[in-house]
Amino acid sequence: MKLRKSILLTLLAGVVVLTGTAATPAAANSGAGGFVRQLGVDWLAGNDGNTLRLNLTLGYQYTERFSAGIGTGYTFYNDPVDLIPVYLDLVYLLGQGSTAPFLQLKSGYSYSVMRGDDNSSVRHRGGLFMQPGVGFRTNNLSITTGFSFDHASWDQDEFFGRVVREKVSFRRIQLGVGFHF
Amino acid sequence: MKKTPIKYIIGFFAVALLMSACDDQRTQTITWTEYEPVYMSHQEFIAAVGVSEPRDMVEPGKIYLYGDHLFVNEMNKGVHIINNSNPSAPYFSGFVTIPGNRDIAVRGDLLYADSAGDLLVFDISDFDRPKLISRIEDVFNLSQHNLPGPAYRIPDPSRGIVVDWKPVEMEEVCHGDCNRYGNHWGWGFMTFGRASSDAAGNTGSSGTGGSMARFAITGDQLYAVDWSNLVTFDISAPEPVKQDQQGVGWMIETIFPYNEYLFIGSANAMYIYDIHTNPASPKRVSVFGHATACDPVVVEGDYAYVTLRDGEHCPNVTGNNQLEVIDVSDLFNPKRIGIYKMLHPHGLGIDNGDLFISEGDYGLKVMDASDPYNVKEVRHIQDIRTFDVIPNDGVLIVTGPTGIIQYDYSDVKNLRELSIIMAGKTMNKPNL
Repeated sequence: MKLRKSILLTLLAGVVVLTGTAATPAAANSGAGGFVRQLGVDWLAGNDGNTLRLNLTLGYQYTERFSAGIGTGYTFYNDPVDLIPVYLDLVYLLGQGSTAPFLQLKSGYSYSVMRGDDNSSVRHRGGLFMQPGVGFRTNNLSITTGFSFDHASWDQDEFFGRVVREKVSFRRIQLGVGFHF
Repeated sequence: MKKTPIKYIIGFFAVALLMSACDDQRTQTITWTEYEPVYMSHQEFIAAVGVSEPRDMVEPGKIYLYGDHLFVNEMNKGVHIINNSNPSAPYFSGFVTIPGNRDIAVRGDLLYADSAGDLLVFDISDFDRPKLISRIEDVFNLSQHNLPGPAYRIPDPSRGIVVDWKPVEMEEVCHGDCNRYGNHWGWGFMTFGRASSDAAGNTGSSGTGGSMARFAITGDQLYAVDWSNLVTFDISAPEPVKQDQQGVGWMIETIFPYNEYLFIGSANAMYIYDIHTNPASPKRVSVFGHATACDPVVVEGDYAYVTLRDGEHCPNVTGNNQLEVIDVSDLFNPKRIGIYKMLHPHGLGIDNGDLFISEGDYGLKVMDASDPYNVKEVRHIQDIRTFDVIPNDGVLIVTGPTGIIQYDYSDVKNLRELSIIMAGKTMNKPNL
């Protein structure tokens, strides 16, 4: 539990730092050049449960239509691990102007964090993270939908030397909103 | 413009496909080890007992210290005899082949050893040439405690006597959730034999065993515990006589004699038996319950020290790994006076307030128990693997899967290594 709080505080601190230090203001749809900073929250819905992911992305608008960045976040799977994705964020705008639809691909690796109150899982690891999607962007706001894949596994040692290894591929519909700053 | 129905159909299937892909995919893989019985015909079983030249120590089990000699059980195979007159230079002097052997004890010139369900007695007046002088058949119930885990096959008596168990690696892969506590438990013969056994405190002309002992000798009695029973033998004559057998509890693991009492460790309790009133038939004094776990016990003064651990063969559902200190000044009403967190404690030993605890794969801990209400860690040796300890007159004998290490503990803050007997090697008599 302490670890989770620490991570969230780190994310928050990252927002503060990025807000205060970025040299160029966000240039979401105003042409090439400039940083793209986004703080977002995703709703991950699936038949096996719903959860939230907080995310933070820092990118650069390379052309009028294409931006790329890196991001991280925290996903509250609690099953028994939570995941911290570290990803590359690629965005391609399908139109020009202050509002436009876009295609997005987030891909990277999710690190696992053991749930604080679970003592039975002794080893855990993350895995591939991928989230293709589409969205619509205005000046300071974007909404997205897509498909989120997360992978994780963990072992539980039981008596008589039994080891139970569980591998999970979390497959969820993603609905998200992001704030540009 | 009029929309074509095909768009709705494609949209419908797209949404359906998307939603069907929203199931988490789970794969559960369970691995475990079961054990297949290794048989020997009765004729082979009897004929296999004998003395041979020293051989490599492969899988050391219980140890027993008697005079200048160490007796080391080779799991299910027999007993190594090691001349330890100089702890800095021990050497193997012989090997006694005893199929199905796990526990040993020595008194006078006699070595007592189990052999599957039998009790054997050897004359060791000549340590290099032990002689089998007696065999009592079928005195131990081995259906439980000799099996190191779930059985792959039910022992078939028609095929002979079970003298060992061969591991069989098992795996079950399930998409979704396996029936975790369902069918993958072999045939249900769960046992805790490996994490148990041999001797105990130093009593009279007998030797000294570790805290994991299942055999204990006091006076003219040999006490032995199996899965659920305490068995008493009269050993006043070379031919032992079974005097008593009584049920104690379940998962009985260790026995430790102290003064005129037996302290018996089981999976969920420490039992205290009076052997003063009638040594031939111990009488229960009290039971001190604790969390379910493997739990050897040693006693010094008015205090008992019990380690609890999880994992392996111990159904410790609470995950406790700890040392418990119990005030046994009132044997009818033992009271816990302290709990100390441990890593994975196994056997332990105490000498005049110096408490030594084997921490399994995590090494050896030296504790100051001069104040039983405030036990303090003095030192933690982490680069060894340990199973049990015997502190004896300044020499600490530490056993583990990799062999036996002896330390001089005259200064517990600065243990001095005297010798190492590595598993897989034979130490020959030095040329003088």
